[in-house]
Amino acid sequence: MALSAGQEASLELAALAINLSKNCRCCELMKESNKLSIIIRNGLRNQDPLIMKLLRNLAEQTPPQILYDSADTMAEILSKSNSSDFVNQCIEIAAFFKPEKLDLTAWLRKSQIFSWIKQFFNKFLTESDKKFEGNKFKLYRSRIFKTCYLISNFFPV
Amino acid sequence: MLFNLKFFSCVEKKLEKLRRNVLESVILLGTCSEKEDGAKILISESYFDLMLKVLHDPNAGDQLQEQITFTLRKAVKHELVGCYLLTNTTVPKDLQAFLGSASAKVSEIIYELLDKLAVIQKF
Repeated sequence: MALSAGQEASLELAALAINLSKNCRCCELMKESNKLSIIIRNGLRNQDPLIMKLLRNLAEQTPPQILYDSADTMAEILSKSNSSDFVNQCIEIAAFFKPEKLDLTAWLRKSQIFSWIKQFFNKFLTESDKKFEGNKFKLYRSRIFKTCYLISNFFPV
Repeated sequence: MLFNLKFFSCVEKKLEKLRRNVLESVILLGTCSEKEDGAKILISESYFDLMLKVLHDPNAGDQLQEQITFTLRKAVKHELVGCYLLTNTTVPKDLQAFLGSASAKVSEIIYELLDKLAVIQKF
């Protein structure tokens, strides 16, 4: 009820709701309540990643029909969004959509998230390279240490 | 030393978050590729190339590798995807080389994928 009040969700409240939504029974109760449409509307209007995470958890088993109904609005907001966390949560929700119930191709075109997805891929590859360079650095460092140790053996104190 | 530790744990955390983002994106792309229109978009936006790049990345992890190979296997049911992979990428060779380092489940999916590609190649 508090989440549907219209303002941005407080961190503690959203965290509680997210944790509760991990439980099947709580999930069912949330789906049955008539507040879900207001929560979805608020989450989309404020581009709130926490509410979207809650919706993602609700969609995990079977996405409620109301999420399919608001897929168009979600796509519209996604096309204008510049919040990476919000977009990521929406992608996670969309990953649970059934292709029989929603034309995902049209949805993807409308939401224009191709550039976001590409960005995620490229960022991952860049970070992975960084880690690889880091590991190389570690390897070189240990080799230098070993060499120093060997050299030091030639000059006994 | 402490600086190095902090730096590496920071990179690892960032990488974990990005890995999750990529995983969810791959799931969405996989669902999208079930229809031929969706598969065409994935080809035109060169997502298959990106997925293959991530597949060969040493930090991809089992879950992501499994999801990517699963998506490729699902997408190959459309002949145009198979033709694209065979003509525009080095897929059969790459995947055969990748088999050595892949987990049992990923290897199983890759074998099925290679079988499907072989059928497309014959025609």
